[in-house]
Amino acid sequence: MKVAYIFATQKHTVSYVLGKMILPQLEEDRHGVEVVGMFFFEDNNYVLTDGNPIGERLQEVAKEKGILLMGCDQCCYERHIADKLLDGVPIGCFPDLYQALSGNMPDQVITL
Amino acid sequence: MNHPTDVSTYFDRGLERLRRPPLPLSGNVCVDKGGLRAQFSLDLYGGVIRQVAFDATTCVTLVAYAELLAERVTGVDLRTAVRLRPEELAEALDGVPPIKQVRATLPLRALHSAIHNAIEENR
Repeated sequence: MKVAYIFATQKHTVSYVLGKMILPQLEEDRHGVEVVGMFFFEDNNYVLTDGNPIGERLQEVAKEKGILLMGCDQCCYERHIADKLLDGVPIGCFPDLYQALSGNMPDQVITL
Repeated sequence: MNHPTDVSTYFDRGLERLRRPPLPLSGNVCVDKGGLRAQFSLDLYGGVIRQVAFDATTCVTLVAYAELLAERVTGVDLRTAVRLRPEELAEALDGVPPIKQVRATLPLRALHSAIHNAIEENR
């Protein structure tokens, strides 16, 4: 099964759910599903900034497994980080996300 | 905090401008390779742009550039307005990733179309 994650809430989802659950599982190949993409809203985008330790690990795994990482463009502009993200990580909005995933559509989109 | 060269500030102002009705002198609808659209309309007086309106796909980067352009050319004569280049818009807006700076081109094309149509109508 293919899934995409949308990090939408501000409920400790990045440092905890992503950083301590999903990411270690992906690094150890035991997450259980194929993750095709991750999209980040609001403050969750800070994980995508260059130099963020969770972000750097995430980027490595994403490159290895072909996972799309994308930050919400409006959220990144509002936080003045749109041009400060990890190398190669794009910003965009829903049309950009769906287009980027169109060649590898998820079966489930999970909002965290 | 928003400061004057900020994408979010221009996007917010652009959304306000998007809600206004078009002005008498419209350009053609311009579309880029990604399918984004923009159309400018103008109100002129004595060869000077008195007001600008636009309609555009609500992409934050595109709307911010369109709003920046609209504000830049308000009160400016047509000859000066038509000389603006995409690089000038891109430089004027902070924080846009290089790959998105190409979106400055579409509003300029739409403005040029409006100016061209305005000149043709006044011949």
